[in-house]
Amino acid sequence: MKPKKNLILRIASIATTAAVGCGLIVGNYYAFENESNLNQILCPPVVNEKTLEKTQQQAQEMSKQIVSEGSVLLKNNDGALPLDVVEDSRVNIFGWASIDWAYGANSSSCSGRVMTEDGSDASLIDLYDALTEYEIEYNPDLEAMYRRYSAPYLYAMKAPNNVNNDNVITLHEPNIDDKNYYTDELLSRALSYSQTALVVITRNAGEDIPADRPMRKAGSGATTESDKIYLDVSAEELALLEYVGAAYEKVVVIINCPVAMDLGFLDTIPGLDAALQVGFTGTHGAAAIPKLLYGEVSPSGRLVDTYAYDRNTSFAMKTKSGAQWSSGGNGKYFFEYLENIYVGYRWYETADAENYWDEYTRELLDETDAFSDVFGYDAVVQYPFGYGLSYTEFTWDVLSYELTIDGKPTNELTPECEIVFKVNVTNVGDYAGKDVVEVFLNAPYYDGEIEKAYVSLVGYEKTILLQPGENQILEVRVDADDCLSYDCYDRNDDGHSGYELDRGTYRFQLMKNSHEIKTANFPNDNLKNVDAVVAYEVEETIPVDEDKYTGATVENLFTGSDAVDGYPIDAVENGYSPAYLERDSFADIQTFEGLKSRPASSLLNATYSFTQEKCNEWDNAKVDVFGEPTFQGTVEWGAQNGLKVYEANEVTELGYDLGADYDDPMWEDVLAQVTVSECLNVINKSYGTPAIPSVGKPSCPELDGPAQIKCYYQDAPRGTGYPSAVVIAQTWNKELAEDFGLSFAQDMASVGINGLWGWGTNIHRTPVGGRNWEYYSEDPFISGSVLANAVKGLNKGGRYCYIKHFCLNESESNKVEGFTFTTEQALREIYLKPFRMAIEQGGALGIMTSFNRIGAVYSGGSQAAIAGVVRGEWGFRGSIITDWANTGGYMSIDHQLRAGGDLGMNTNLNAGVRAEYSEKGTPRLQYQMKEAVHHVLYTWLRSQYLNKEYNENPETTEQVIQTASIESWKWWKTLLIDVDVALSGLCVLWVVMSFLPDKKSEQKEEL
Amino acid sequence: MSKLKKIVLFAGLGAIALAVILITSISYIKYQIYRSQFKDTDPEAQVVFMLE
Repeated sequence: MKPKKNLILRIASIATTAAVGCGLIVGNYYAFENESNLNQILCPPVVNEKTLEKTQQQAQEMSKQIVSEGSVLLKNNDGALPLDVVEDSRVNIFGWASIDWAYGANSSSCSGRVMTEDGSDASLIDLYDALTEYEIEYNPDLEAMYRRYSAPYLYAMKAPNNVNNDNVITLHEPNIDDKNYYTDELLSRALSYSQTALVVITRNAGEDIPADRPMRKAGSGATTESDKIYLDVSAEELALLEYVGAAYEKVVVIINCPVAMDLGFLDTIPGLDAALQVGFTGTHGAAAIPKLLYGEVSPSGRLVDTYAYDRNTSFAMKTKSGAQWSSGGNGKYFFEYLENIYVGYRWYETADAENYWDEYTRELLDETDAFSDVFGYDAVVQYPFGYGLSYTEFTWDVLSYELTIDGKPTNELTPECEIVFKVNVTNVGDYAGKDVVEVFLNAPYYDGEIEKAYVSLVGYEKTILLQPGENQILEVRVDADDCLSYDCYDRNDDGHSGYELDRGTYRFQLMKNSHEIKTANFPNDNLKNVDAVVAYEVEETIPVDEDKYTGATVENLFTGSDAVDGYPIDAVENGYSPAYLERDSFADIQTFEGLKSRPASSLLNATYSFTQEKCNEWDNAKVDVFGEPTFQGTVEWGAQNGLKVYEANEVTELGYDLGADYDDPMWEDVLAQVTVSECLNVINKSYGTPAIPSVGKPSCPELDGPAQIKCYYQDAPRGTGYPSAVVIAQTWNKELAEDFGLSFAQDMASVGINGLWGWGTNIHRTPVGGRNWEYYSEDPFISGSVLANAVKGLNKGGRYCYIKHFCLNESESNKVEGFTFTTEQALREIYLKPFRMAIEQGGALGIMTSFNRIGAVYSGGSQAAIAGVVRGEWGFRGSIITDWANTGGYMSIDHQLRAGGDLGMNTNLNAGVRAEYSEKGTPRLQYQMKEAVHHVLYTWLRSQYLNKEYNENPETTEQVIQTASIESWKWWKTLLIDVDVALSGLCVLWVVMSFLPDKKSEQKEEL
Repeated sequence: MSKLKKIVLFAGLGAIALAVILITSISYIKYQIYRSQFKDTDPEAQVVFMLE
């Protein structure tokens, strides 16, 4: 080979080697940056098939139990239900939705969609499968027609994760007059087949899918209805219902949707005899539906939302999507929760008390299917909060009611009290069933003073299954702490702002729902068939300055010019004051047209960004925003103390001790061992917390989602798909909620997952919130109660969850960077309450912050909310993680860390502002970094400790399946090293070869 | 190609192949050793597997 050619070859080999080397360095860097993701995709845990199977069976039974108790009987004229297994052994099933059953919401993420454990559609149970299993026959011709018609449009369940949202919310009901499908012969044969018809109506939902999107349709004969939204009922659906209602003797409408869609047709179309709302049933829960339809189980679910005939009668609907800043505010949207505390039934019932509905009228069908006019509240609200029918009837005897403090009777109602009601519930009907005693507070209200809803839920209990004639004495406990009002403006001029037990008469009403007081007997008072109301007087207003559970000081943190975050949460400043609803002036809102775009103020513009200056200021501050001295000592890193919290695949005794007590003195020595590198690795990792080798902590995978533990990637192992959160709440069963939590924990254990990104507990502020199905209710008390119990169950099972989205994240529209304003009263009484309950009563160990701003500040960066309320008032010591931070520098873990948060999901430190995250950082910053590790370690160890405690409890009778999976071989890492070695070796070999002579003759030429 | 070049080439390729085989084998054996620590116990028992 000629010398010139040799030179070219050598240069090429060296250049190629250099390029390959750079490529390998970059490739390896990104591979290990995304190590967690790659592990999830390529190397999911090895599961124990036996325990997985057992767990699945158990979880599927749990799903059926939830649907059984959470389905709500909305209508039942003339005892149409229960059906008879003999007379109604054959049914016709109408509705396109019947063959595209909604098992769970569809979504652009994996937050909520449920899938079968094995990925097979054959395992799913829809209404057809459930009826077949129950040995009820259904008309095969109708089913075949729907499948033929709808084949191109199946999206509710069977589409992949990344389905186009428009298709998800497209309705495909065939036109009843379309003879290509509803032939005369088909309809005639159906009438001969059976005189009993089920009609399925469904609506899907999900993340990034606001339910107020304009109605979309597809299919033969579909008409355009531009004045309707997705939650309305289409003309085709109405025509179908009218036909079936007229043609069939018995018609039952199955509502396969957990959110408050338009159901007015139930009271305007004759012939619709009964209606059962089953929500989203999960992958197997629908199996319970025939048991409900045929009376094996009496429905006992109660609604957790108000169903209005016209959703626009909700005042909150006027501000549902916010408005855009006309200038400033980073061009984003702002929300003003002008309804104040009047959300859901708090609005509807209070408005009724203020005669707001007096002029409303509506023509509706009565129980005989005749039209008549109804007036007032009845013309506005179709089904109140807490409503639900049964096949049987119950009487209540209020045996006693007592004020107690620490279990001892007392005479006066004070904030320390518990009010204990003992109610003897007797089944006086013909079917076995369960009843719910709902206790609402009617608090004393004075015009112009503290805003108070006419009624608010403060307690509830559900009976066990009572056979006809059986009774149970229910003990319903009401905590006076739940009866307090938060007077953020000192409206009663007592010189105090904060929680108060206001003076006046407190009426505790035992109710069937938010509107109807139950008639009961008071045997000890010789009263019969009277309104079940017990009243207590508070002579003088009692201020409350401490949190009942932690003893921490509670005071205004968000209101006024000294708001901790620098901008008042009610947006009252610079001459601007949003018109928050006040009870004494409801009539004034008639002319309100909605939020209008306005310019952001200079104060807001100066507040909303987390700047380098603010970062430096925080790092160097000697006093925090609450006036407390900041840490100025030395933080130790990398000590060699030889302490391990986990060894030989078990949590050590030390680990359990640390899980028992966040303030155990040994924490200091353990945390001292953690290195800066390990700390940064913890804060910056997604999909779980990584191993911390210095203390022995293993890696703890974490995943979505509230209805099912599963990964975005289809092939990874997953748990069972449960019914939606609304259905769980509709059970009104605290024990069942806890059992669900334990079941979910076992799912997680069986597929090797420690942490859950869920459950969600934002509020159903309006019926059209896109993720309402994923959150519990419009009411904070039942939301918090269900969540607290579910969390308890989850923790018992040795798992933990990040309750979300903290907070004020009620809209899917314009939520990213959305400035969210409300009064501090509404914030504390409505939006923070379920989180508080879950933490203080349920022991929640994780929080996920939200996409929106709390007031003007990123939720994760709110020192008022995180440092002040969560860490300070509630004493929360678990982990706080961002949501998925695909929002540029806005959802900054730099910001959240300094507010008291810990973990960045899809965001790393220094992605926003720059700071010295090392031994060279300021003492305060280093301390905060170390505390993040403290929180993360405690979260995991606490869950292990609670699990140990539960297992060792002699009263524990359930079989608990511990972690039942191990890590799989991380073959991709080995392959990567192999590729590195092979490519590098080949390149080096090439270089060497290029310098070696080919033949002796060429050697001579070179010489 | 000179004899030296051939020797270097085959030796080099052989070394690379050996290295890849060794790396893969060691990794797999290490995993199998880890895997063998866990026994598939009766699901009636409380502890079955535990995470590393």
